[in-house]
Amino acid sequence: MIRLKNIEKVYRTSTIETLALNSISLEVAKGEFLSIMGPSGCGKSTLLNIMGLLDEPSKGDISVGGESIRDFSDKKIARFRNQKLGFIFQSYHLINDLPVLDNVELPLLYRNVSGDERTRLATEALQKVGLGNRMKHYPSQLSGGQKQRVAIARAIVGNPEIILADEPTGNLDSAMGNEIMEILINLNKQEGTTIVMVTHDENMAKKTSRLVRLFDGSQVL
Amino acid sequence: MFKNYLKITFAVLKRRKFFTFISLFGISFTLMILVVLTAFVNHLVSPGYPETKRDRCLYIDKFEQIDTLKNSRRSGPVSFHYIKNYVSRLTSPERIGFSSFTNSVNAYVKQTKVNLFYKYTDANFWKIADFEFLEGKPFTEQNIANNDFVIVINDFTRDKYFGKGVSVVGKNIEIDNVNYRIIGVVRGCPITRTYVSSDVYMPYNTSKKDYMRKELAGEYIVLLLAKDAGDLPEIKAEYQSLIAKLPFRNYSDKWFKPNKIHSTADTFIGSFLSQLTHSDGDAKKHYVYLILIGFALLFMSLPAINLINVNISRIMERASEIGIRKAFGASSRTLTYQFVIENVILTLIGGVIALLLSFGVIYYINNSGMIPYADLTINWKVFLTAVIISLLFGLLSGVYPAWRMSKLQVVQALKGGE
Amino acid sequence: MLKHLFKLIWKKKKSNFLMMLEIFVSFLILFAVWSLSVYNYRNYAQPSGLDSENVWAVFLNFNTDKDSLKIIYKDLVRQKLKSHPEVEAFSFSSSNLPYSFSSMNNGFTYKKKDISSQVMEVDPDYTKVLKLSLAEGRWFTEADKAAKIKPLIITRHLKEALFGNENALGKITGEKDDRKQVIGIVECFKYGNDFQKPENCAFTPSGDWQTDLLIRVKPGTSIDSEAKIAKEISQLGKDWSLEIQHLDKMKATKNRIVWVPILILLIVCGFLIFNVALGLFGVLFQTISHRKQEIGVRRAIGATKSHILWQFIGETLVIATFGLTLGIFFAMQFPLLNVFDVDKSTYLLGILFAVITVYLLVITCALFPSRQASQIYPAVALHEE
Repeated sequence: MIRLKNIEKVYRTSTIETLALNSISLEVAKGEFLSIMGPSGCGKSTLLNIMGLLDEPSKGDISVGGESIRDFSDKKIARFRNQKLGFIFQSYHLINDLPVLDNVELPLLYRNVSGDERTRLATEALQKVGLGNRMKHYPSQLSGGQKQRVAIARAIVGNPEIILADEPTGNLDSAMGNEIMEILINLNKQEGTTIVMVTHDENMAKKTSRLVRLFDGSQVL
Repeated sequence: MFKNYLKITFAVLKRRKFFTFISLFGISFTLMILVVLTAFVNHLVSPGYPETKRDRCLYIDKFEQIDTLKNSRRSGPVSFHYIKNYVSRLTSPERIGFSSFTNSVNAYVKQTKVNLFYKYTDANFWKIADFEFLEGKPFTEQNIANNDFVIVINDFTRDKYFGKGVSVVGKNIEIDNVNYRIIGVVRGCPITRTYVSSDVYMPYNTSKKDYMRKELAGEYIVLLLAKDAGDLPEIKAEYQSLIAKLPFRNYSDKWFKPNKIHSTADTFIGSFLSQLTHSDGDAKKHYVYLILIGFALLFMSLPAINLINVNISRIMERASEIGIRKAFGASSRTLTYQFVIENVILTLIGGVIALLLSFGVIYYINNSGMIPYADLTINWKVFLTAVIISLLFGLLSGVYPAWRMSKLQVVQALKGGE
Repeated sequence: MLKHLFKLIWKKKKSNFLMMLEIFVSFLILFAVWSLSVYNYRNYAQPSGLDSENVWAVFLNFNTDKDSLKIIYKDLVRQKLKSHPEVEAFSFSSSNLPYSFSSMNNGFTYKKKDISSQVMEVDPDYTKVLKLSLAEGRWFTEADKAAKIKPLIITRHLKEALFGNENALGKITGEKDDRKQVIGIVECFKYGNDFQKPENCAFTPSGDWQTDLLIRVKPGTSIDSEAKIAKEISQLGKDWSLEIQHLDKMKATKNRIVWVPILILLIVCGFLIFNVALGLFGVLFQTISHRKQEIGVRRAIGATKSHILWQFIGETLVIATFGLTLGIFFAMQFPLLNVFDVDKSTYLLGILFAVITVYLLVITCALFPSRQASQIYPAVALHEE
């Protein structure tokens, strides 16, 4: 699905150069649940961002479904993100000024789906994560776990092939975290969605089908 | 504490140069326009050269005869006959003088045409208006008794007619084909002082018109000078009792049989209002001030809303700073004071810039020749108005954002948002 | 998408309220300015109906009240003027000369209608002096002056007020001794200034007491000739006063009285609007930098750069629309209630131009901050906490 080849990422400020990723090669197969583990600052989020085409590598090659991303235009990348990818973030990143339903509809908004269809799909997605009764609420009225479930609904509403989750349980207590993990595992098993998850929680990582460890920007396993 | 406020204010202003610029631009231009307008209104209504005694003056510039049956009216300035036989009987004024409405005439000099304004006046006119004589002196009762054809001209006329700065007393000048001997040269005054402004002044008895006509309506404005500004109501009342006793004139005109006379002795602003409202203008003075203040507030409202808007943005940007302050124990009240003071300092800086700009604009108006002899100034009255307006503006635009800020919850504020 | 924007703005109505208020007040100011400009431009674009170039206005005062003397004096003046080759045509007139500060109104009656109109009492040559052209009928001649029913020439505006759609030529207005017959119609006659709206005006033969004059002189007549003519005329009598003014300069003065206040108003309003624009710009900048995370999420979810650009411009336009709607509601009262008796279309054009100006202004102010927003790098935006 996604193939990373010799990926390097260097952050430059006026005084120092930091090597965030050092020659990473990785392949994500269709239908697998991959977790990336490592301590804080090891470059896992950077790797996820590069996989999600949110960030460009300094060196190396990414190809998706056999196509190299290098000469994709902004528009094409945006469309790719919109149709093939779903994102889940540690701090949920919901839009506070919009009700839950509208937050979930957001990806469809950039896809020219009719209003009724949007509502139908978003309702469906919310029911899947068990929030069918909270559609008119605003994010500020929800608990952390509920917010993350909304974020998952938003990620799956467009029926993506890959979900990229950046510490989805990082802000939650273990009970809620387990709930979220269960939803993700179900997605992977029942719908066959490919999931890449970044985490530093050993327990969560154990539940996934494959584990990649990063340390100081290099792959260690 | 105040020093601390000041320090923070300047730090904040320096950090966000763009917002500071927007705020200062809005404040200073708004205030500049208001200061220039105030200076202009002040120029129009306050005593100024040569009407330095305007505070003690009343003017009779309109005499209205009304036929209430046929609903027709005739109005205009008054005649010499009326002044001589009625107005001069007033005992309360210190002096009574008169001058004609300003008219214009051409003088052809050296292939150019000079359009000159002229007035016919009596000798007392020169004792009521304080003209500065660059040369010579005004004409006197004696000149009038002798039927002398003498004239007082202003420096503009001298420069145009004879050449810049030459001595002209004793020389002759031809006005409307009549030869006059120049007796004095005065420094000219702006045309906005309509009751005294002119280019040349001649004794009333040299007029080509038959000034002795036994008619109430004529072409003269009466200037009444009181000993003290406190005497003005008394003079007004005495003039009203004179009007009440005035006989109605019988015109041969069958369409016009006046049965009512209306005329008031007004202060300068009052006379202007009397013209507008056909009634005693002095009684309506406060409306004018209300209208002016209303206009100023209306004009300020948009820049004020704008400033409030910008201020709120500035506060929201500093939300985390506010959060930290609150977390460390600053009360809402302290923060409100801090912000209001910041805003007042900002407006005062704007006020200073506005004052400088106003000096520039007023200098330009005075020297551009838009209004000849314009002498707009920023005196302490205008300055005080400007300062008060600045403070008002600062409070107006600072209080609401400060209130919004003090409402901010610590946690929200720390997160940096609403 | 539009619904989406409305929702976003509605949720933040409190913080957007001031911006809407600003747009609302700005709109009202722009509406006033545009209506005033449209009104004056439309009037200005109408032909004035008279040619003021090379025409002198002569204010002549014989300083006598006796009409019998005036008749003799006027003849003296006529003869003197005829002897000057520079004089092409001249006409005595009542004191309400074009572009002068005096006016003379009279009521005209027809079928129970009583319409007040400016009346100019003039000589037959008046039309030659001002080069008037008649739309219908004819100008009066010396022979008409003797008629019992006086001839009358009226402007189109007066004709419509008095006679409506009827043919006015030959119609008689007034009663008994004061009867006048319409013999001609002029399309327009802007006697006040170039910005004057079409108004009622009527011309009728002068009596013996009108002593002001209009003189058309040959182009290029020098100041010396003017001085000579002025001197010769005023020396015809002992106590005569005389002043010559040029009609085009009088027109310029009267025009200035109209356009100077408008210009000052435009400058002041321009400043106000510029002030608002700067404020909007600053506030939008601030708002957008506050919403970096949201921008990041949207980009991650698949919004393109132009999606982000248009979202922010769109939001600003929606806010502007809220302010405008309220403004238009108030502005519409002017044409609906027919305030100031101004043509409805002037107000409607004023509203249209004001709306366009507000939108242009808002787009200009939103463009740069929105562009900035669309350039934000999603990975950076998402990780800024």
